[in-house]
Amino acid sequence: MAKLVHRNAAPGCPRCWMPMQPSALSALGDVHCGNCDLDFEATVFSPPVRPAPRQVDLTQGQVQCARHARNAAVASCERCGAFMCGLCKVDTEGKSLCAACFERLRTSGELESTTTRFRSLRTLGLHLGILGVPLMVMGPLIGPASIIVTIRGMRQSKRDGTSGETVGAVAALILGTISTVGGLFFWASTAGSFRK
Amino acid sequence: MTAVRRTLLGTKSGFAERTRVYLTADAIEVDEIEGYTGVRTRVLLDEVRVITIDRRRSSTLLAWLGFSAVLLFGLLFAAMIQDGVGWALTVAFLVSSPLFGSLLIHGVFGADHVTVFGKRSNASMSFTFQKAKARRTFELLREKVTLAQDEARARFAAEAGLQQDFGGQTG
Repeated sequence: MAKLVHRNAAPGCPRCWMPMQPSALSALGDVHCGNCDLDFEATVFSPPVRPAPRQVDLTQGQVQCARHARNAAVASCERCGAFMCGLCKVDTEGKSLCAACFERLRTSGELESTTTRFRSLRTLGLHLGILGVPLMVMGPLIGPASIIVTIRGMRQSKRDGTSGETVGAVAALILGTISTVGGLFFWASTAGSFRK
Repeated sequence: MTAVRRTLLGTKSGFAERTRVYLTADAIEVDEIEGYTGVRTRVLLDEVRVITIDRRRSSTLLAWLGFSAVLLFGLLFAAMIQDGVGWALTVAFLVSSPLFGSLLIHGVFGADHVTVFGKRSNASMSFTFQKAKARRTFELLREKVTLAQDEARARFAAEAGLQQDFGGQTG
């Protein structure tokens, strides 16, 4: 619960999350938090506000929004071509979409930038690789699982457009290979001793 | 499927969760990973309200530092006075000294934190060893946010103009 509060806290102290007035934050030099005694440097911005949609004036040759008949259109949807006002226009991944098209693409998973939940396959692959070394008896099972999951995790990172961060994946692949080979060697030598 | 290009800005680790912060073309993406499940949130660059940078020391880590110092020097002392087990205690000392060293670095130099407050969500990252990178990240974010907000202002102004003559241009 506390983490959720931090995730959505209003601008203020970055340690105790005590909200502060913009005037206190925009003071020159370091800002001091009276609650936790932290000194920090802050830069305050004034995010632009989208203008309220204007009422359409058909006598001036203006086009009305397909959804809000009273509002003047500002653009047309790049997917369906519907005229849309400032309220309906959604700018995402370099496209201007209407609310209906945005919702359809989001539901079908075609908009990468709307993904909010994912499974960290690379972490799972690394943990399996680490686990496979002390449990080398089960290496032929854990090792390949680690390699497969890590490769899937690398594909996931590629899909997300993440560059770099290869150290963990390489470590997982090496550990997965060690546990696989070690496990196979163990079972082969055990089988050999039984034959004798 | 179009892949969104993103670069890692920084990370932050807690007891059971890790946070990775990325910069994309129009937003800061925050991946919070707890176990093997991740939750992705975004702070849109044109909605950023405040960016902060600060240096602090974690009280939990400082407590660990004190505890490990007592333990480590206790081991060293025991190694010096004991016969026979001295080698084992020396190995224990050598094994635990990297942890002690990193705690000591944190105690002496602290960790730099960069925090971005957006309209709806926040992003936070910490830099224990790379203070210059923390400053560079702070400057980069300031630059990107200023640029994104200037572009958004121009876009909204253009939209306001379009509301007047959109029909005339197309029709």
